[in-house]
Amino acid sequence: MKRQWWDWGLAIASVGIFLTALGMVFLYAPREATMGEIQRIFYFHVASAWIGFFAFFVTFLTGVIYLITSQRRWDVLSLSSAEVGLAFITMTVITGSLWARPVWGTYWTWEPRLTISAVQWLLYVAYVMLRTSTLSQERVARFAAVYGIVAFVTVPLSWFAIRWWRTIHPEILSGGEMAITPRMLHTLLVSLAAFTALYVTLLRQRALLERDRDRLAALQARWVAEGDIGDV
Amino acid sequence: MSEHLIVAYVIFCTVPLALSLSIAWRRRRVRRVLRRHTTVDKPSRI
Repeated sequence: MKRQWWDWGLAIASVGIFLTALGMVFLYAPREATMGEIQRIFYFHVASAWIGFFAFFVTFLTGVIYLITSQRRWDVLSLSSAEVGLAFITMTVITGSLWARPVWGTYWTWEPRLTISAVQWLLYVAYVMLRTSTLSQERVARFAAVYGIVAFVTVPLSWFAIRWWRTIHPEILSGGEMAITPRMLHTLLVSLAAFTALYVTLLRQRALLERDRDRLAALQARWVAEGDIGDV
Repeated sequence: MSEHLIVAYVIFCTVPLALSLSIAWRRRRVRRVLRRHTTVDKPSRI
């Protein structure tokens, strides 16, 4: 019962912060002088990208811990974080494209940051597909842990792409300083808090789904072992 | 206001909601089978 209250509290808090951030994007943040209204995509786009990267980092870290300990809970965290991270990165890629059309004059261009983002998205789609494999759970978990570690390479690559190579993607963190006004910074920070809360809520729900699946699998295995399983 | 901006924020609102509903729906399905397994004598395959 306590757990349910905690889950509901977390979900309500996430929605509350999300709506606050949404209000700040449209009512508090100033209109950007060069790009105009379309710049308002930036707040949720950046927050979604950063939390997506963080989610993939969690997949990387829990993958390493799983390979060392072989404990199922780390694999569950790894899988859950990758699925939530993929949703966040999907939003980032689509909304980045929507921003690019009026600013760059095209929805997509094969510049370094965007190319790495496309590769990253495909890699994590493949990761989620891999998890539906019919091989034994342990083999899939082990393979997915290694895959999650290797796929994480795309995160630092994407982060440094705009610093290492010639690119048209804007850079907001330059020399450790933010190139935005205080009101824009407040809005970005609240958006970051909103996406962090959303990430924690979705991660927990996804991990609980996996726990229920494990319980069911254990129950079915027990019945099969006893040779007494019914039909549909 | 730009239509691209509106579409972007519709995406920002619907994708997390869709993921949340998808997780809730999958969990509900698993829990229903789990309940059946624990309340009847013989479990069924899913």
